[in-house]
Formats: sequence, C-alpha cells, structure tokens
Amino acid sequence: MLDDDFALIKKFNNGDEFAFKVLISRHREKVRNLIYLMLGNGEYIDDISQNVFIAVYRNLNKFKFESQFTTWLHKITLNKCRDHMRREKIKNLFVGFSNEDEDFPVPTDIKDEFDIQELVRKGIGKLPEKLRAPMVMKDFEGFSYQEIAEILGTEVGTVKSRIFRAREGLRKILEPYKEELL
Amino acid sequence: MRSLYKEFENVSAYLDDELSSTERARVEENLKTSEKLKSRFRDYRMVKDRVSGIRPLPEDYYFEQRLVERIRNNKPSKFGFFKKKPVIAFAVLAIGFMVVFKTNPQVFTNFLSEQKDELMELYTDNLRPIIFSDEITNADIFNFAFNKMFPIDKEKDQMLELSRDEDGNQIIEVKYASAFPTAINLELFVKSLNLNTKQKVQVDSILESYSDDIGSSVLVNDKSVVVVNPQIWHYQNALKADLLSFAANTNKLAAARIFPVEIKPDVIRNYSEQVIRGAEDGNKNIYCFITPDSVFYHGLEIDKQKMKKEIEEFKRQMKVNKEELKKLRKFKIDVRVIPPEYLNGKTFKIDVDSNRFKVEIPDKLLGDDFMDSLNIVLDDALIHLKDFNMGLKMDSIFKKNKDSWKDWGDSVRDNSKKLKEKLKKEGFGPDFDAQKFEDELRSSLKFYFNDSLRIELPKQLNQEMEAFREQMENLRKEMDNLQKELQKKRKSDQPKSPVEI
Repeated sequence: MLDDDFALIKKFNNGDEFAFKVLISRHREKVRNLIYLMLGNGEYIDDISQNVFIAVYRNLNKFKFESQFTTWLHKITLNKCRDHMRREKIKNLFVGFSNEDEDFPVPTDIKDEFDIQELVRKGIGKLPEKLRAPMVMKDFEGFSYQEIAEILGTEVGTVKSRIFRAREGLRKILEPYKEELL
Repeated sequence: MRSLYKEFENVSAYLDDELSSTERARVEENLKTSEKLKSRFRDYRMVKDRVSGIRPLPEDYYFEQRLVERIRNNKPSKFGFFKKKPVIAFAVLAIGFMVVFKTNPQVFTNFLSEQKDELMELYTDNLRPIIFSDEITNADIFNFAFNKMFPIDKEKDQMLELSRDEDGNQIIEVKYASAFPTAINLELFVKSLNLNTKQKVQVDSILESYSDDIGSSVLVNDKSVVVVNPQIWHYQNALKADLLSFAANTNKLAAARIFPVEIKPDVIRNYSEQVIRGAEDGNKNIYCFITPDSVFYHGLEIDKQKMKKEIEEFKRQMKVNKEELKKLRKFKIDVRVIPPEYLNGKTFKIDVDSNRFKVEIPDKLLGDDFMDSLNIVLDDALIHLKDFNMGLKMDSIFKKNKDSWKDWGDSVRDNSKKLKEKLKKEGFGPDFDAQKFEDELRSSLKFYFNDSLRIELPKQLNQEMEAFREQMENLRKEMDNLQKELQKKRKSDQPKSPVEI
C-alpha cells in the first residue's frame, strides 16, 4: 500500500492524471469519514473533502516521501476541519436566525429515540477537538500512536494521554446509557 | 490519585496494544487484583468498540467526477509568467482598467452601484424586527434600559449590547451573554422599591410603551444580518429616565437616595421628553448593518405605522396562541434602500474574538450635546439606585438582629457615626477606622447582594459544611477536655516534696 501510494504520486508528478484519480478513490472515504466525525454533522463533508483533495492536487509535487501519504493527507484533512470550525465559530457569533422556509427536522430527545450509533457520534462531538482527533484516528481509522503523533505534530506520550482523556470523557458522557451500550 | 490516573491511562494504552512488555505485564498483574481497574478496562473497551463500530458514511461514487470537474474549472491560467510574476499581471490589469475608466468613467460607478444594490437586496431580504424573532419580554426591555443588553437569540444566549467608550463613541457589540453578567434586573428593581401590584402594573406599562420602538429598532433576517437603528440609544435613555423618575416619585426614601440633591425627578422627566423628540427628529432612517462580511451604514425607509400595527397583531396572537408566532414570523416588512451619500467614506473600528463582535461607530450619528449631560445624570442615578438596593438589604439584616441593632432603621451609609460609636463600645479600640470597616463590609456584601453575581452554595454542600463544622467543634471540646485531664494527671503524678519537720 505504501509503495503503491508513492508510485502513484510519482506517476502523477510525471503528468499521469489518472494516478491522481486512483489516489482519490483509495483515500476519499477515510477522509470523508474523518471529517464527518470531526465536525459532528454531514452538512459540509463534500465541500471540505473536495478542498482537501484540491490541496493535495496542488501540493503533491512538494510531497517529500519522508512520511506515509496517509499521514500527510490526514494532516491536511485535520487542518481543513480546524479552518472550518474556526470560521463557523466566528460565523456563529452572529445569530443563526432560523430560516422559516426550510423545514429543518426537529431534534428529539435522545432517550426517546434510542440510536446507539447516533448516541456515540454525538458523544464524540461533545469532546474537545484536541481529544476527538486522536481518538477517532486510533479507534476509527486504526492509526498507531506514532502515526497519530506525526499527524498531529506532537509526542507519543501526549497522544496516549489524549486518547485516554477522550475515552474517559466519552465514558462519562455515555454513562447514563451504559446498560443499553453493553 | 495521580498514580491511579496513570494506571487508567495505561489501561487505555493496553487496549491499544501500545505498551512496552514491562508495562504490559504490570497492567495485567494489576488487573488481576484491582476491581477499579477491571471496571475501567471494561468501560474503555466498550468505548473503543463503539467508536470503531460507527457505521461509515455511504460511499460517494461520484466524488472523483465532481472533484476533477472542480479542479478543471479552477485550473490556474496557462500563462505561466502571470502565475510566476503576479506583479506583471496586476500591472497589466491596472493599465487596462485605467484606460477603460478614462474613456468611460460611468462604467465603474455603474458597476459598483449594481453590485451594491444586489448586496443590499441580499442583506435587506426578509428583514424583520427582533420582536418577531424572539419573544421579547418586559424584563428584556428593562434589562436593555439599565444594562444596555438586548437578546437577539435567547436559545444561544446571544445579546446585542449598546454602549459608549470613554470618548463618547457609540459601540455596538454582538456577544454571548453568559460571559457578561448583568448588574440589575426588573425583579430586583421591583423588590428594592417595594412596589405594590398597582405600581408593578405601572412599571409594566412604561416598559410596554417602549417595547415596540426598541423592538423595532433592531432588525434581523435569515442571512445572519443584524440591523440597528442608532435611534435606539435615544429610546434607551428615555426609558431609563422614565423608570428612574418613576422610582423617585413612587418611593420618596428612594428618591432621596437615588438622585443627587440638585437633580429632581421632574428634570429627568423633561430630559426623557427631549430624548424622545430627538428620536423623532434625528436621522431616523439611517441604520447600521452588521453582517458576517461587513459593517456599514445605510438608509432604510420603513413604514413604521404599518409595522407597529403588525407588532400589535403579533402580540395579540401570541397571547391567544403561541403557535401563531411561527406563522407571523414569516412577516416581511417593506424596506426601501436610500442612497447614503453623506455616509460615504466612513470607516468602522471592528474587534472580533470568539465571544464578541464589536463595532465602534466612527462619529456620533445622534449628535446631541444634551445626551452627554443626560448620560452623566442617569449613570449617577443608576449607581445610587444599586447602592440604595444594597442599603435596603443591609437594613433587613440589621433589623433581624433586633437586640443589638434595634435602633438601626436606616442604612449603614446614614449611620456611620452611630456605627463608629457602637463598634468602639464593643471594644474595637480608639484606633479603629469605622469608615474603612464600613467600606469593607459594603464591598463584601455587595458581592452577595448583587443578584446576577450571587453565589449560593448548594443545599447539600451547606449541610455537609455544617456537619463538618459541628464535628470540628466536638473535636475541639474533646481536645480541651483531654488537655485538662492530662494537666490534672501531670499534677497528681508529680512527686511530692518531702515534708520538713
């Protein structure tokens, strides 16, 4: 897989556009799912994931082959998610006056309509971003602590601690639903 | 505690198979003996399984197609040197524009005007008074008069705050209310003045008489646009003046305390009339637009009479059936954009962080000199009102301790001498500074009595603290007894000196 990615990048840098399409199809779902779990909603997945791959397309000639392509790709993805969250935070300072013409679904009490998947996803969404990212990359994407540390630009010990704190946080959030979850 | 925390962290890493063999063996050993660790191990495994078991999104098969299309459309120019030398590109463009504008100067003006019209259409689309977007209560109107805050989204706890800086510049802020506690509220005002039912109704009617004007001075729409008519400052001051003069007229004791000697309530009342006239005569059609992209002034012509009727209807429906509120929210007001020639070239000072969006308006739109002196009088009266409220609360405390404070009917402020004498009598000594003591007492009580900042310990915690205090008291008594017994024992154990014969 590692060599394949490198080979595809080299081909693309030599003018083979098809190699880029293969790269996208190989990694797009990982990127989309990471964005989904990082943002907690599906509204901007397409926009952000497209921006990720456009950034990849434009910067692939600068890729140094010193780390795995997935490490580099996830770094870009997380940066795009952070940019988006920062923009949303500023935008949310203004009132999100509800648009009466759109028929938004009314949120229901989580206990009334019990959906474990939704419950866990919402729980993850409640965690701080710096805890959410390493836990998702470990448990959902299957990265090692070393790889996560490289993506986040931090120490392995920090990753270990953040994953523990994320699990502890999620454990507390899910505590009232423990019986249903076990 | 710290080591247990570390143990939990290692259990989490153990699950991920990220421990060295030594650490791994230690965790396994500890798991055999500690129930707490076992329980955590089960919990973390459940969390890990649940996160890894989240259903992935359905595959997006057309993703590549859309992406390639987007890349193709956004491909940089083939003119390589433009990319590498943007200065050249800009220079060529600038020269091109200069030639076009020189030969046809109207093009640029028309282009700008068209763009501006389009933008204004977007910003003014579906504008409606805030009163339609959120249920504005009398308490909110009161809060606006005294604390200069107005709710623009109660659910998100977002407020619009109007204030002035030290130089008198007007400032509009959109911010989260929770970070900025308010100082006085309607409930406190009613309590402080000890108002009866009839007087409460009078306060409500004062607030209601302003609610339409205030509520319709702030417009919002679905595009996250907040539009503020600067005349709202006039209404705020007038309402504040009316409420303060009402307070003074209703409660003479309050009047003496609220207003400095030279200021009479009827003077304030006159001010409020002037202020209202100012609001009627001023630049009533100029609005400040705060949008996610920009901040600017623009003229808007609104049929206020029609709008007021709609608001009346809205309020009537709200009383009958709250569900109607939803329908009425679709209400659109007719706005006409006025070209603001005299506002061109004005710049705004904007300060944005994650809690606030602050706009400093460059010059006073209201331009009334009397407003400054009015502000000083009103602010002064407001400080006295808060002080008065605290005085009343302190009085009630002193009255509770009838034996020691039975002659103390008035507030501490008016009884400094008596307080000084009493404290001297109580043995505080000739160097005791009664004023300092009074100030300290005031500042410590102020924190308690200021409702918005009031900190109340939970009942259970209070009980626990009381039980703990009793235990400590018992322990102290036991220690005293023990000490006495020990002393007695020592005395009895001392060898008796030989008796001399």
